[in-house]
Amino acid sequence: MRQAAAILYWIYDFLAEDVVILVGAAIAVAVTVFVARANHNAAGFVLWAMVIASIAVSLSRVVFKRS
Amino acid sequence: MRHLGYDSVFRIGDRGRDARNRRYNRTVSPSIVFVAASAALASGVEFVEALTIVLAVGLTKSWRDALEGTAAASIALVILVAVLGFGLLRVVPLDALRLIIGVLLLVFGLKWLRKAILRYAGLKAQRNEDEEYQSEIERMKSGGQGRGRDWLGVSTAFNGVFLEGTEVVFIVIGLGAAGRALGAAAAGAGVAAVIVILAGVVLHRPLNRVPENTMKFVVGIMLTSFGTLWTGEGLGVHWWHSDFFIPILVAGYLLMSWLLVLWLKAAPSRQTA
Repeated sequence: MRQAAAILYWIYDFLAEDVVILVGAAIAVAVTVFVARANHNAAGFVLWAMVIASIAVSLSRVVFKRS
Repeated sequence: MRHLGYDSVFRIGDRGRDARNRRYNRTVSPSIVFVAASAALASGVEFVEALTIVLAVGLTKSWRDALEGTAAASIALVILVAVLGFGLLRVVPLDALRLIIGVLLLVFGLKWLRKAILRYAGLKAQRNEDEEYQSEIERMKSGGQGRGRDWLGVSTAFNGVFLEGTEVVFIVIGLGAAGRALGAAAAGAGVAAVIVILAGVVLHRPLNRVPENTMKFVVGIMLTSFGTLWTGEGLGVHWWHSDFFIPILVAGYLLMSWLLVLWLKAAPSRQTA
């Protein structure tokens, strides 16, 4: 159990190192799936905007932690 | 008659598939340059970091330990490439592959981009190869020096090369497989490897003048752009002019990063004021 947790943590650390990035990407994908059903062209810009929002929120946490 | 009908349908299907592949190959060709350049830059950064560790082991323990650890890690990485690379390309359909790899590259690219932006804004220390090298030297010296093979040296070289190499494998296979440009990605990584190894052999010291943060920033931008494009394609997004949208994504992320660095630089002083 402890080894499985260690492996999962290694994968998380290898891929993202930040939970906001991971959650933000997951939300971006989920929202894009729904938008793509209605409009294939607009969905790309929604995905792009949500990715930018994810990194902005992630970086803002660093600033607020320091303050 | 029945056989002829099946045969002709089969051939038409084959021709149709060939035509579709030719069209597909034509549309991805512009991104091959981006794939090769991204793989070369990403691999270069990781090879520089691995070289620092191998040099520390070689100069404090022995070159035999350093080279044995490096060789063992290289063999493990070749196995990883064979299993992941060829397995993914043969088994997983392109659309599913692009979605999976797109999401992974997107998250991985954002990690690199986030770190690089924090370093540009002065909120995270720059990586210093000389300091990393000195700390490895100290660690090696504190481990003592025995006769014969020194397992601390071998395992340190193995860990360094394998961990940095895993990132190279991930990026090269990700970019190469989803972009159907594995050769270009591997060639980019190969060129970077040759340059870093030659520089290490000639200089015999860490490559501290390599602008690591700039390279990581560029790679972060490229991986995030490819990740966005392929995630979108996997989800059914129609990008404007297909793969030609990559430069627009790159420009957008560059502008975003510049604005974020400006904001982060201003943010602490605003809060303390």
